[in-house]
Amino acid sequence: MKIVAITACPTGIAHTYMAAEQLEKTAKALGHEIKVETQGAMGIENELSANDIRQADGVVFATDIEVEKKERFEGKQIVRVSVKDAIKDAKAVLSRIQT
Amino acid sequence: MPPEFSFLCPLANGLHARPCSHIAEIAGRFQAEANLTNRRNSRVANLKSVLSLISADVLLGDECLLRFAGTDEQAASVATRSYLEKDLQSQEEVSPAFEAKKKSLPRSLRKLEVQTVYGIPLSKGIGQGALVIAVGTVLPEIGKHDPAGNIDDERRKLASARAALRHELQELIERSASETACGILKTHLGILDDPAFMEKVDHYAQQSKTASDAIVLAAKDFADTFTQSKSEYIRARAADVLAVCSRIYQLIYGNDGEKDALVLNGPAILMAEGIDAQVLLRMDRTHLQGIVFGEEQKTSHVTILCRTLGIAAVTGAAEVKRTFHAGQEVLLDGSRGLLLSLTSAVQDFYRKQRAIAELRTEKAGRFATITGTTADGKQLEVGANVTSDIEVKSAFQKGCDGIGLFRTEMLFLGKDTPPTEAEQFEIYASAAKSAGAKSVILRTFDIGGDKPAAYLPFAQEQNPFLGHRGVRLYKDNLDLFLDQLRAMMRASVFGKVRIMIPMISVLEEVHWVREQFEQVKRDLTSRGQAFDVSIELGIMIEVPSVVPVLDKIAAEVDFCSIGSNDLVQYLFAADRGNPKVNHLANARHPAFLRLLRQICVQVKQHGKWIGLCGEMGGGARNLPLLAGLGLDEISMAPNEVLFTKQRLAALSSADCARLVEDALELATAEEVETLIDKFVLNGSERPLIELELVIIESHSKNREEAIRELVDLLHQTERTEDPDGVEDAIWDREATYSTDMGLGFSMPHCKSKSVSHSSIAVLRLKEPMIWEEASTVPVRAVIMLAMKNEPGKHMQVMSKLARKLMDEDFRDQIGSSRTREELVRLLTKDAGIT
Repeated sequence: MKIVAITACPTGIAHTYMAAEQLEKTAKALGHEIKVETQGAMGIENELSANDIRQADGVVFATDIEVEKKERFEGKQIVRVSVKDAIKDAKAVLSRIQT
Repeated sequence: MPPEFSFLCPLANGLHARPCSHIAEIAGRFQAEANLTNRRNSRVANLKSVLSLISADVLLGDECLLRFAGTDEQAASVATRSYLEKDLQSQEEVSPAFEAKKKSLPRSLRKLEVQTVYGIPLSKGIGQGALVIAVGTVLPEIGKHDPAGNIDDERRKLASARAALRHELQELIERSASETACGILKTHLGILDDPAFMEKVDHYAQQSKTASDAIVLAAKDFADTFTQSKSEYIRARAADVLAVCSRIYQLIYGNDGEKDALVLNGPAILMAEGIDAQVLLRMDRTHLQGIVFGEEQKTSHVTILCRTLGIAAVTGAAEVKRTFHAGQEVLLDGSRGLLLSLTSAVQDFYRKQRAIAELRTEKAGRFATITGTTADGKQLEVGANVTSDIEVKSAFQKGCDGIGLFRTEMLFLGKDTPPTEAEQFEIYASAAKSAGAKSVILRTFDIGGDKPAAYLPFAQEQNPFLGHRGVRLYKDNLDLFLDQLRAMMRASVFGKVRIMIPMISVLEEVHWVREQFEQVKRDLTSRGQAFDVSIELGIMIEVPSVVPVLDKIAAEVDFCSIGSNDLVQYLFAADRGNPKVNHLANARHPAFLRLLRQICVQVKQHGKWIGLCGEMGGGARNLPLLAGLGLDEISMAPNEVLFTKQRLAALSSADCARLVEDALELATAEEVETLIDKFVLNGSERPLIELELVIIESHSKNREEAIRELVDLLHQTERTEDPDGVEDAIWDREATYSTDMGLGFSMPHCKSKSVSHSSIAVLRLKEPMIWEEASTVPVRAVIMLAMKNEPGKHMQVMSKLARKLMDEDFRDQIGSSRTREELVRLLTKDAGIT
């Protein structure tokens, strides 16, 4: 399964990256392909392209603040969770993607 | 049967002065005798006497019986009852909202839940001791004056003093614009005419045969009764009685000459109301740990005196008397503007803060012998401001490059006669000798209506700060001025003495001073007394009118020093001590910066020396601006000197000059603040983590303690100048949601302008703690990420660490590292942090 995700937390210096790391590790362990865009203190990194999004089977927003450029995801089913959920139990978050 | 009724006191603060004076006023309209019995304590009060009513100590919920007897008893009873039942409630004082102010207390202190009073920081430092509540004038001891032969003489003295005071108070009430002040004055007037008060004074006059003892004993009687009350309002009335009695005493026995000094018997925090510079100078300050002023305190020399004498002080803390009682052990925090009840937890907190301060001073010690210099080698002398020759000596021990300002007026105040030329010569010569080859700028006396000296007749001025002060006084007091000039010049043979004139507003004054200066030189020569022929004469730039014509003035003086305190106040027409307007008196406002720049350029065009001797000279945020303005010198409180040199050594003068250029283009104070935020206050980047930022066995027991311990580490290692600001920022982040993710560690973090160097600090806890109520897994390690506002390249490293922490093995290694070195190695090498 191909997954794209966005992580973003209020200060953008810690949990954004912890959540990204956790989602990446968990997805790989489960045999999925994943690309995570971080929206933190350094701005948008590892930005998802239109192509990434089009091809994705699932989209996860692990965010506690407003997502930037969310118009890219129009028409996509989005799993919305808090950053904390992604850090604590990424597996449960990923299992919510409906295929 | 005479009318009577009972009444239940509905006021939270009890029957305090204001309702009591209303009751007394109503009862006074009738012939009938009226009294009140407080059933709780069986005290009986005369309804016509405010003091007697207050003495009955009627508190919330007390039941009282009121009785009336006399021809118009019915009418008196009806009128009093009507007031008590209908109007009394409106007398409730509403306490101002404290919640809004609570932010100023660091979270770790707030957690201690101690009694706290918030004020405005006035003079840095921490003091602790018993709270001593002093009124402006202190009453003399009993028996100070011998009994008079004739009791009628004493009665006449008392009567005429009372009449004079009544007149004085009525005039003040008429002139007073503030309702609060008016209320206080009316209370005083009420006390003066109070039947119980008059009775008591007369009783003691008869007994002691002296007016002095009669006043003192009456004052003590009432004050003692009031201070025992549970109601803070009633306790506070003791000060009013004392104030009235003091003034009566003064009117009979005279003022300054007779005023007794304030005596402290042990470590004390002084609650000073209307205490003047004279009292402070006169008293033995051995035990004085700090001073707290009530709301009415305005900019005055007593506040400057606190700073120069290094006495911790807080102003605008009117709540002190309602929160603490006299004699209570309290701690005064002059930097935060707080008073706290002195519990052992408070003591521990401040002991730690003191240790950090000492450590930092020790580190800065190496700059003591080096003239203030920027990282790129540009010199900026860092001088000290002092008030005595003793301070000169200690200021040089504290590493100053010279004395930027010796305030000589302190030698003139608190005395009955001016200091003689010989006395002054000795002091100035001793200062010059202590300075060696370094310069001592002696400022001629700056006395004015706001700080009168006993021997100088001053007319009451509507606005002493715009009045007859500084150089403006010298013509009328020529002998004083010439004596001082002679003493200063004669001292110049012992070192590098320079003479500076305060409050110059026009060139004509410079001309006049120059004439006197040359005349004194001729006098000394003809007397055969030695002086340094090249002695320099300079002026303070503190009145804005000199700036537009500074090209003319700078040509005629040898040096200038900017008195930023008054210059700021006069430029913005705003009193720095008035909380309603002091935000305007902002030395970093572009308007003021442009003025400073204009001054520096003009003075430099004439090749003259330019210093700055106001409070702006201290403080980390001003330093880059001052270093970029092209000044030759800045001077400040002696304790600030070393830290300023240390900070200066980390600044590039070229960067600072650019900063000033940029700041001069800005329009608002806020824009300047943002610009300074961006400027790297402490010089070049430092590594994110170092050994000093790791504690391997922390004893912190809860989240508050752990965060403070980490913030203290940043403070200790000079990674922040504002630890409370960092602590607040961390807590703001914690408030959105806990940084404990159930992984056995927590990661409090912030991005804040209070952080000077982005840092990672780590605590390994001896006993794992529950981070917050909802936490399930105990936290073993706390990793704090403190980023400055412009995170820059460090942000990448920080994100790497955040990711790395999701690796369980890595977390285990952090949990099991045995030494700080091992932990730092783990974080730098293994996590790839550099």
